[in-house]
Amino acid sequence: MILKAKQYKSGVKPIWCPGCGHYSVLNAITKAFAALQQAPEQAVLVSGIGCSSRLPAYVHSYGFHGVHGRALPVAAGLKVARPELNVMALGGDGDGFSIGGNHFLHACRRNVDIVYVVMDNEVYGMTKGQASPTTPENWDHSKLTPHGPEVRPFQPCALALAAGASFIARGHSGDPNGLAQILYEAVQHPGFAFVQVLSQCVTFCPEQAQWKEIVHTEDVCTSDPVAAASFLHGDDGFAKGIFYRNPRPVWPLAHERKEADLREGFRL
Amino acid sequence: MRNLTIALTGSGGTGVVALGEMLLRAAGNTGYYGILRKTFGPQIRGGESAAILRLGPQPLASFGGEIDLLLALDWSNFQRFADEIPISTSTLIIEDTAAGERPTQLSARDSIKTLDFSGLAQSLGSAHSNIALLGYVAAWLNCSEEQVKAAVFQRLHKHSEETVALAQSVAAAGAQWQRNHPIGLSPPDAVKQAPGATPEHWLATGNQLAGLGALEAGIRFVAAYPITPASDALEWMAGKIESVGGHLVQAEDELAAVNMTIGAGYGGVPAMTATSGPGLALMSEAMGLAIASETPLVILNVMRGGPSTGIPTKSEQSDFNLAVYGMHGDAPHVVLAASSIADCHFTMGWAVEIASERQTLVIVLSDQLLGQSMQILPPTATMPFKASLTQAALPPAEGEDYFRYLDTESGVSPMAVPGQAGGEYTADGLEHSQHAVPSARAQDHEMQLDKRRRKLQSLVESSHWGEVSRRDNAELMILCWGSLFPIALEAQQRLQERGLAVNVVNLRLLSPLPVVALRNCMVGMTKVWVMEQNHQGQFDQYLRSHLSQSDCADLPELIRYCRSGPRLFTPMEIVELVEKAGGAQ
Ligand SMILES: Cc1ncc(C[n+]2csc(CCOP(=O)(O)OP(=O)(O)O)c2C)c(N)n1
Ligand code: SF4
Ligand SMILES: [Mg+2]
Repeated sequence: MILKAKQYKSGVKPIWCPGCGHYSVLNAITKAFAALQQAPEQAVLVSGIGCSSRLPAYVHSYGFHGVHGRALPVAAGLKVARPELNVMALGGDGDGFSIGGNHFLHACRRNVDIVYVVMDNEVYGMTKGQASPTTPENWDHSKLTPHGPEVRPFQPCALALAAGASFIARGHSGDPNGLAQILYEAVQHPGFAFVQVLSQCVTFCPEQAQWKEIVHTEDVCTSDPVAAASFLHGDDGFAKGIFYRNPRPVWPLAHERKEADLREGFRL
Repeated sequence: MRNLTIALTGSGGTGVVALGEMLLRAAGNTGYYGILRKTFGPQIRGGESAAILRLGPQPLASFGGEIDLLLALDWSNFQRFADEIPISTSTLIIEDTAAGERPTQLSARDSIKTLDFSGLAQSLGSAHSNIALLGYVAAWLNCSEEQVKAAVFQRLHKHSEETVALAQSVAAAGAQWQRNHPIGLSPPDAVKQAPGATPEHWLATGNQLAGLGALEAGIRFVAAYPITPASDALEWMAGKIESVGGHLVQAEDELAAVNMTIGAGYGGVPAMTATSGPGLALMSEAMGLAIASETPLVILNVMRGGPSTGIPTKSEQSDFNLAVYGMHGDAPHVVLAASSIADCHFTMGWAVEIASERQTLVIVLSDQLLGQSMQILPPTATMPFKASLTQAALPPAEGEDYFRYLDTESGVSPMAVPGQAGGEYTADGLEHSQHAVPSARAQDHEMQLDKRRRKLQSLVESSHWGEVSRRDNAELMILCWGSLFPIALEAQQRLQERGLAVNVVNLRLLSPLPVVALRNCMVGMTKVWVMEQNHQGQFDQYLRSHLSQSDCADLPELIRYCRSGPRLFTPMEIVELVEKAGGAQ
């Protein structure tokens, strides 16, 4: 039986605001699953906390909705313990780059074979519009930071490269088909695949509606980290596409299993 | 002499802990039973360290407190351990010529023997006075040259053959000295009193046995972040877990460690982490997640002095409150305490079984004393526990709905694991309906809270809740938990020899508290001492709040007896305490 994209929807009604970019990410995931003919029982979506992190409940597959910032360790533990599963971690920019920032760095470095999708709306949507690590430095719409954050935003893709990610891409919620294509590739990449998605928050950052005018597709995919770094540091943040793809050994490496008696070594 | 306690002090570089281990092994192979406590200062290398070795003809699970023989390779940092090494006028002291200036409290003593162990080692081309001392003391204990050689080899086998051979010759020279400069104290009669320890006996630490218990009960995934004094449990497991097809991950921090463990547990693979106070504090949020999402999770917490970085290298039982209460929301879970080095194996196994059967968090409390002390003991019994997931009737029949968080009578719901078609659900720390759909309704919240509490309640009926050691006609009782149990048992024995009958009750199941079993133990008692090694009597406060909710009409007098680490409780102080109050019977 061929599964269609909509058969990967769980039927639970999303809590998202009408027009939220996260709907498109949901659609892109179900499209990618349909393209892969992913067995629902073999896929697990793991998330943290945020509007974006609500996504697993809306997909017909296994899911784990954990605590804020910890999607990556849950996903890594699951994948190491159950390597045959297709494990995808996802969440928001606050979840992944602020409270979970340390896990992001180490996940890039560790290279467990999982996909990590960050729905980046440059804001904390769920807690009603505070600045995140990717918010522009002069964005003064939050009462919590009336002068704006006054610090430069992270560049997530450059960060991922520096930390050792072996697959780096960016998509846009305005282009679910393009994103589905990226996710299709990311799932098949052996190792840690990072996908940043510009996913607009219509409620707290209505100005992001303009993103669709400024995003541009770039065909620059390379396996050379120097070329990738040079591109990503010159990037305006609105390029779409797969930027870097350089498979390296997936963790944990396979070791020959030596049978041993657990009780050996205790005798006097 | 029935038992013998030897204290060894030196700086980290003098190798007193290695000396203690080699001496324990050689003595064990001669027929002694024994236990070795290691105590370290804060410095990693070159700082002060001390080892306390107790030997005797019967199995020894506790330390007596009295020091019969003090061997000093280096006095310079002795003061830092003075509290933990109570020297009396009957302590025989032997110092190395290079030990440096004697501590002031000993300067007046004229009975100190000074021997040139470092000179002896140097004359053979070795810098290791500890090995000369090993030979010297081992010969006094009637250990054969072969046994000493074997103990040296065990310790140094990763070094070159020359290094091992040199050390063995230094030990032999030390043994020779025993003939020329006898200690002048008779060793305990262990060897004559068959059957002593045999080569089939084990030499193990509580941390190793906790690791063994975990793997034997089915743990196949471990994620952790290094922390004293839990790291050696992890290191032991790291060397073994792959042989049974599992994985150990060194995580980037404890937040990652506990969440990785939860991920594996959600995947149906029995999983655990191990840590100590500061790490347990960091894991607090995720513990709530395991409870709410009903994911099996085992945490071994090897306690050290707190709060904050506290005294990382020394024992205390002060994480009780954190383990029992340290969570947001109403978060019922299980807290167990290992009650001896050997019991680390049993209690870990039970924890693994409970966590998987009841889909919940189980915290096992151990401490530095149990975790890092080394004991000669009979081979550990076969593991009686096994991790098992209660996946009731899955996958559900075609067309039937799957209720992951079904409100069952036992409180345990059918748990599907990824890979099972028809069981797809999203596990959630958000409150949810029986159907695993997020819900903020009061009705769902109450149902799930009730369910998560209910599924733990029958645990108090388990016979594993604790141990009761009774004496005829006793009206006095000691109630304790964790590493205090072996000490209390020794006090009970000594009290009996003095004609005082005392019962000792030890709790393995701290939460949920087996109130009925405890009340039954208290029937007929006039006084109950509640003992624990922390400053504020954390367990005692908890106990009283539970007892006050039960019928408190005929409660015996409860007496709190607690103090902080790292000074160990001694059997004699308990004897004196009970005698003083108990004499009034
Ligand atoms: C430990 C903890 N701290 C704070 C929060 C509150 N909180 C919930 S979601 C969120 C931010 C989410 O932002 P992001 O990850 O960008 O997701 P979005 O809602 O924008 O999709 C915060 C701070 C929490 N749930 N847990
Ligand atoms: S607040 Fe923003 S991110 Fe959250 S659902 Fe609404 S539009 Fe989406
Ligand atoms: Mg966001």
